[in-house]
Amino acid sequence: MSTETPETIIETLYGFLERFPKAAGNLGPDTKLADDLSLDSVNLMELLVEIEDHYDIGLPLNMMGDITTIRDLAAKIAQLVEDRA
Amino acid sequence: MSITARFNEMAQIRDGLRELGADPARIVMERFLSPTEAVIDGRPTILAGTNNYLGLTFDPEIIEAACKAMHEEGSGTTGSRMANGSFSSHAALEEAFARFYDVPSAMLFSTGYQTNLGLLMALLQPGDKVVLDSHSHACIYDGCRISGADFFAFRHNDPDDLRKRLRRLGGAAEGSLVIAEGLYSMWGDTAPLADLCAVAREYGAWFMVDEAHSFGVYGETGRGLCEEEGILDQVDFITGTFSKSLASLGGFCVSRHPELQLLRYGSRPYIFTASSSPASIAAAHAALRAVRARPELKQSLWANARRLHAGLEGLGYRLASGPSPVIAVQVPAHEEAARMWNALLAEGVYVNLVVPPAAPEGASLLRCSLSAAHSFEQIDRIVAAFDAVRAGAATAAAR
Repeated sequence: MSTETPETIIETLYGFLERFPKAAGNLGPDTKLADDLSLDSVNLMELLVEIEDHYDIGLPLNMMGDITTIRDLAAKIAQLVEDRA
Repeated sequence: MSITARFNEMAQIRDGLRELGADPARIVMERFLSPTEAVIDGRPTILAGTNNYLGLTFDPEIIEAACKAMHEEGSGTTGSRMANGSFSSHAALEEAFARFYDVPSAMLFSTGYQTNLGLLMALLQPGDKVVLDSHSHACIYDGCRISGADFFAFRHNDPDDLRKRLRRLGGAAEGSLVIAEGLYSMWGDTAPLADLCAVAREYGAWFMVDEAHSFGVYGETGRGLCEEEGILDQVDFITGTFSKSLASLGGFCVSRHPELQLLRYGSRPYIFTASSSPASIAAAHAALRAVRARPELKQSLWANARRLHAGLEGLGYRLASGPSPVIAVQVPAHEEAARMWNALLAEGVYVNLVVPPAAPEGASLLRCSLSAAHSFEQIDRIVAAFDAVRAGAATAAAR
């Protein structure tokens, strides 16, 4: 059983996201990655590659269409971490 | 929500470029003076932002072949090959590509973009796994996305990172597809294809290489970087375009697997697109003959590439790669890149301005592409223009 929960993953994601210009004071579970943080396709891909390495999982790029918020992304990661375990 | 919402997004992109003073949509080549020079804004301008690598767009034999085909076969095919029939010239060019690569199968598509889209949409289905280089062209991403397959990016040109991502796929790595390009069009760097191919083989994955920018300019006979790296017999699918070294319009895929032919029955971009015009096919076929018969074109291109690379490096510019037919000057600030792009145009030199996200990893690019048809005098003028537009160059000259 993994110790990672969507809540702990959200905290970790804040760490990955804080380098982006619009992140300061703007990070919450319902923050929208594209609309609120202005992450473009290249930013998102770089972010996913880093997250994959951190959790040792594979995040398919095609699933990004279903992910709007930080909470959505954390839920997907939690599911993949659980599947891996 | 209305379908017009995206108008606003696109207007923002346009306005952002206009704020930079650099809308590429405004560039019109009013009259051609040669393969490497045109009139832009009423001024003779050296073209260092085309992909006319072998300089064949005004080759008399190619133009003659295209004109002859138009007279004999008409101006257009008026439909797709599956719905409306193939012309003998389509089949002849496919045979020529198969012979050139010594493979059983070749297929033509109507553009380079549609070649990758058509191959990937036909090959892949939901549940399949693809691992692609993060710098891959949009048509590779789009083909994967439309197919419904799960696709993952590996760090650019990093075989160890590819291995890591294939390992994470577990048993699904076997039978997955790994995709790389020969020459990457933005940075002008080449892929470590032999190493990537070895990793793909290690995991039982298929290996596809897009040679859009490397066909005609790499390899002893011009078959691309796969030939140069000695892996032609190991790559499963090689794609390419007619719109660069082959001076025409269209694309091709070759494969050592005879099953490639089956894609004619399942590739929507092949089935539902009008086939390439007789003139385009004839021009590409004549250019393919030139690739085989005139190795001096490749030598001229490389001499020009080395000269421009040395010249720009000598000026202290930060270049994205070593010498290649694409030489990209990296400029961290987008506004400075736009200023330089406009100043280069004023100096009579056209290059490509590439800003993120089209430019990888943050820095804007002033992308120069070389041609065998450039003269050394033109290369030196390009270098002189880059010297003149450096920040502070005017101030320094005035002192």
